[in-house]
Amino acid sequence: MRKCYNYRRAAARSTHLNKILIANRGEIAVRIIRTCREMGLATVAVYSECDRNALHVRLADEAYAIGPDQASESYLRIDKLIDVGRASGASGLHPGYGFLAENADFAEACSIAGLTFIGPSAAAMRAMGSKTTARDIAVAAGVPLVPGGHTPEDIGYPLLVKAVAGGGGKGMRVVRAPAGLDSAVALASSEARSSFNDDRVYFERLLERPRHIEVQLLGDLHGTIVPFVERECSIQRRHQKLIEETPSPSVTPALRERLMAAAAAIGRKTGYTSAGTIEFLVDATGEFFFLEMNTRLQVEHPITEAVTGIDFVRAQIEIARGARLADMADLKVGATTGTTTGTTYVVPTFRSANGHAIEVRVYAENPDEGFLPSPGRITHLRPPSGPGIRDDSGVFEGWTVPTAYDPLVSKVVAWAPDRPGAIARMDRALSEYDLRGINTTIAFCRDLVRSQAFADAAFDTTYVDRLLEDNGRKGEQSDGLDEVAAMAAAMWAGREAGLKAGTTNGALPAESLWARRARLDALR
Amino acid sequence: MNVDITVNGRPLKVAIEPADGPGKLTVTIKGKTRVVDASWVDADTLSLVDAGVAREIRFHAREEAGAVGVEIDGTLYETIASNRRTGRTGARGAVGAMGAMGASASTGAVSVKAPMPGRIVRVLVGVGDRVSARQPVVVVEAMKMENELRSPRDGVVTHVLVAPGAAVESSAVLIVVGP
Repeated sequence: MRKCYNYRRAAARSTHLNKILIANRGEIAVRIIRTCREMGLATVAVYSECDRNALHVRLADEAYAIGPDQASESYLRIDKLIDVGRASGASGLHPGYGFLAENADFAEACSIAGLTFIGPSAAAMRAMGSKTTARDIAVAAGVPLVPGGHTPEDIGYPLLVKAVAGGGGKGMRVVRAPAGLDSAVALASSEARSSFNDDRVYFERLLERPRHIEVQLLGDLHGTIVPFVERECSIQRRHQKLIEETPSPSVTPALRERLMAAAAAIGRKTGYTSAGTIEFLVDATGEFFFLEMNTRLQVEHPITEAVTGIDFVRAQIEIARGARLADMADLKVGATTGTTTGTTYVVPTFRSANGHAIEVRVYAENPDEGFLPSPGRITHLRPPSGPGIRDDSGVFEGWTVPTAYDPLVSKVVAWAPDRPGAIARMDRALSEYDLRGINTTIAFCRDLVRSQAFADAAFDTTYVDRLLEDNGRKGEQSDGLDEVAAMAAAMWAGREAGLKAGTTNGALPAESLWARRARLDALR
Repeated sequence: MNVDITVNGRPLKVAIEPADGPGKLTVTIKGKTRVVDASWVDADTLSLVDAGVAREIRFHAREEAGAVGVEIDGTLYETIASNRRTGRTGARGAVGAMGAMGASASTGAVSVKAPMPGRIVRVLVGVGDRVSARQPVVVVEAMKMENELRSPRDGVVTHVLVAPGAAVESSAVLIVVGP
């Protein structure tokens, strides 16, 4: 017999956490607002100058300006965010991901101002947010580590330069030989300073062709840690994730048990609360190494939502209110506890996921120009929909993607009962996705999803970078549709000629354009 | 109407005339003539039915005269049209396509341009410095990532037009490298 947890009743009972300030922008701010609305909570948005008309501002109940475009003068300003918290009377703050989400000083400032920070404790963030302390904790939890240290001599080449406070591939560079060290350290620390306001870096051995596998955790305020089925995030370009899926096609049930146990052990060691993720590198033999912990909600959390039915933002809010994970009906937490590595943890009964989910991140970047950012106005937008598809987007037709922030515009999630079904759905969804005016990674990711290598799950974290080095994508070969393209281009040219002659507004049916064009030609 | 089209650099001659019936067009390419049904969904989207095969054609506007990107089932074809009757041409398109990197030139002065709006983080060279092809010369931050822009050629830096902290627009010339 399990007690059902009634969120609506809980929300109505609680005078605490009834208005939430969302200290973020873009798709994640929209995603958090959606859950708040479902829970009957008021939402407070913040915006920089260029975000005045942004979707998160349009959807929120209240909105406050916090300064100019530059994040350092707006979304990263702790003082301004706290002021908005006071002015709006918000009782809780959700930081999203990026910006101040993993800033322990911010979490503390929120507590002092009487705003409940919807995330882990400042102490856990400090411990796990510093990559070096996090490694010590992993060792203490009995979890193996990638060899690393503070000098390149400790490691040998090839190595990785990583920001101590880093995340999301920022502040990270690969160095293959000593000659490249100085420039890599300079770039990594400068990027780390502008992104995280902390320019310290350290070094880590570069594993050859590992897979990136991560385990989502939820921890409540009563000492329960729940690990979830792993996410496979090996499809990355320069450490920026492009495609994630769950469960991993390469993880055996035995390895899954070990990964979940190791993640739970690390979580328990820090008394972790709220949502967090333990990242591992897994080599070809199935050995795994602790990489780092992200002390926040992750970009790719929707795929875990798809295979578990859990709303992780709602779980975070409930946890912040003091709810017990065991009381949350949709968590289906069983009585099973494990004692691997000497700690206890609760194992959810759905440890075999329900179906398979894949996420494609759509970035405003141009794959044909080395993935240079491609900000600008979205002239056409028809997002994908239909069975098994979820599109978490922060944009709309007519919106101008600003230059000042992360280029993520939307996340497409495809769910199906099995992996081939999820691949087919993602392929179908990306073919429907019509986003014009800016360059995006949609077509590039669709090629990846349709590839034999993806079907065979024959990839590792270096796969995309090697692919790009090998062929630079598509090349010059003709695929038989040149003639269709030429025909279409001729029709466009004809229509443009009609426009020039002032005979049409461009929206008239084709036959009248062509009739007019023919008449014009005949008159000459 | 006769139009010369280049598709990804490959020339094709296309003749189009209105045919009987709404939206029907007679198209001749490479000596083959067919009747297709073309309907504009909006100003940049064409629904094309060709012998029963239905395709959505998504056009991507380009700055160069006569140029337009044609997206068919996720594949983008860069096209340039010149109308043979009027001689209107989009020849600049070929130059524009390479513009951002200033790529083709190996002789003469070439410029390193901002490929997107952003902010200058570091200038890695000074006037008079000798640089080699692909050597990083300036670092631009856009959308939270620092991007190293490289010299397109071996040569000597003749102009440095920006300083760290400067906001730059797309296509702004940042550095000029001469022989």
